[in-house]
Amino acid sequence: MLDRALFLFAEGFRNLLRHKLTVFAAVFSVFLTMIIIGSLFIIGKNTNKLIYYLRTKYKIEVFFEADLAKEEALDVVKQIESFPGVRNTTFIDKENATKIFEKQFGENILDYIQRNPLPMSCVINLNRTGDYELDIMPIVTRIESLPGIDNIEHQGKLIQRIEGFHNRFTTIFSVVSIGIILITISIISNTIKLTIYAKKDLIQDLHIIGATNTFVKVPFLIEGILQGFIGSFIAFLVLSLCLQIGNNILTQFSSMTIRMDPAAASWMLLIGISISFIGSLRALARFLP
Amino acid sequence: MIQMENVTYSYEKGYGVKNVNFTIDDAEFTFLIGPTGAGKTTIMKLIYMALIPQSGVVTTGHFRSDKIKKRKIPFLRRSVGMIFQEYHLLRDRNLYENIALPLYVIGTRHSEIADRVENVIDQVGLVGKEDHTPDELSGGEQQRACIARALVKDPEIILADEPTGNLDPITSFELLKLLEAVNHEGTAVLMASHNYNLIKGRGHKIMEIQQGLLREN
Repeated sequence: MLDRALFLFAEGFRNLLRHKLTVFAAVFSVFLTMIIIGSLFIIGKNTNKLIYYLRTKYKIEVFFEADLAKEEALDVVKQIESFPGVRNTTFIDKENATKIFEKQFGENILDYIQRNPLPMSCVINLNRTGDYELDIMPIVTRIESLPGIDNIEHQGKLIQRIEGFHNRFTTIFSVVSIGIILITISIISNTIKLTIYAKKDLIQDLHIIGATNTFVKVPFLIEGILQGFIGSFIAFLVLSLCLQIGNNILTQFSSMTIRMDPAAASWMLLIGISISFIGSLRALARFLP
Repeated sequence: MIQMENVTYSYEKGYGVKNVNFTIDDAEFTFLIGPTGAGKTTIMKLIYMALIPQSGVVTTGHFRSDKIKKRKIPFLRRSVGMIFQEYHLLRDRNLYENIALPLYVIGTRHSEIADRVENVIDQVGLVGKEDHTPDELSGGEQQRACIARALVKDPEIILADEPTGNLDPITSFELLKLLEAVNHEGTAVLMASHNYNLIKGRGHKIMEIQQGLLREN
């Protein structure tokens, strides 16, 4: 059994060396596909990280009406805390507001104005939402309906734009990736068909001497898997190298770096091999039913 | 060993075999003669079940054409050695690899393969040619390689379809003697030929086929 498996693997490997031109076309197709998908994935992952970071920074600031009593304002804050999506709140009374003012501007406002003009306010921190879109507008609308609210400051529009961009990117990434994968499967399938055609004598002879269809098919599948492995492995190396060079240039201008997922090698190989495997299966289903 | 009972097979163009009946016993040497297009190759194909009869039953070993499942046909072929006029050797492999191929197909252990291949190479008189590709062998040597490839899996029967068709008379005769030697060891042989001069007087059973109809002499 092991001897036969080794023989079939060796046959698949030999196929790679026998049909250099078609193998080159298949490997190059997988390489290009994985470069494009890998680049999009890296961009997507880094955008995700940025979005996640921004989501943790989202906050709403509520300013209360000047004539509202502190107890009434605290009641409102309590109500806000019970809203879904609100992580916690920080109430700032008039006294603390003057301290913040002094910290920011270096002057005590009461030295210039007899009466404290700064309103009570409340900073609302939102739940950190990792993977799903954050829509703060429903929370803002609910806060607006509460009594004693004078003004609400938030980054709702900006958040919507960022989330919208992120969603569009994710959709385009998915569509482009699926399209490229389908094209590559078709290319691999055609190269395997050419190989099968070139080896029709061998296939006929194998059938005559008693080979099962599985025995005939396995070397072609191994050939396809090896093509996928080689193409995606080279793509991973090239992408890693490009990232390293890109980051070296980037660090001269900014502290930001583009990172590759540590598991990138695994999933790139997995996708590359899967593409080739499906392409080979498709060709074999057609020519060796 | 091999039996055909009322076997009929016709191609779309109308050629084929009609109501064929015969039996080949274990270790029997049988000639199948007839002109080109008479149906010799069709008989061979029916035996290794590349064709399934439209009526009648072919029995090869313990496989019956009316009961065999398609996935079982490779197992039937493992007990049959086949030799063709056009050799069917793989041009990108050397003699040793060509002969060893059926052993990998049937799952022989790697350690056993070398011994068995060397034995049959010796049996057919091709020692020293192991590294030669088919293109580096003469026609006679290529046909001997085909016999070795058929013999290496220790078949119960050898089907030789016009094995001397591309060979000169002397080489053809040597090949026939080789097949007789193989038969002497206990392997049944069915050899198709249109060369009556080659096979006459050899003392073997002769079946003659004319326009798809079989006549046993």
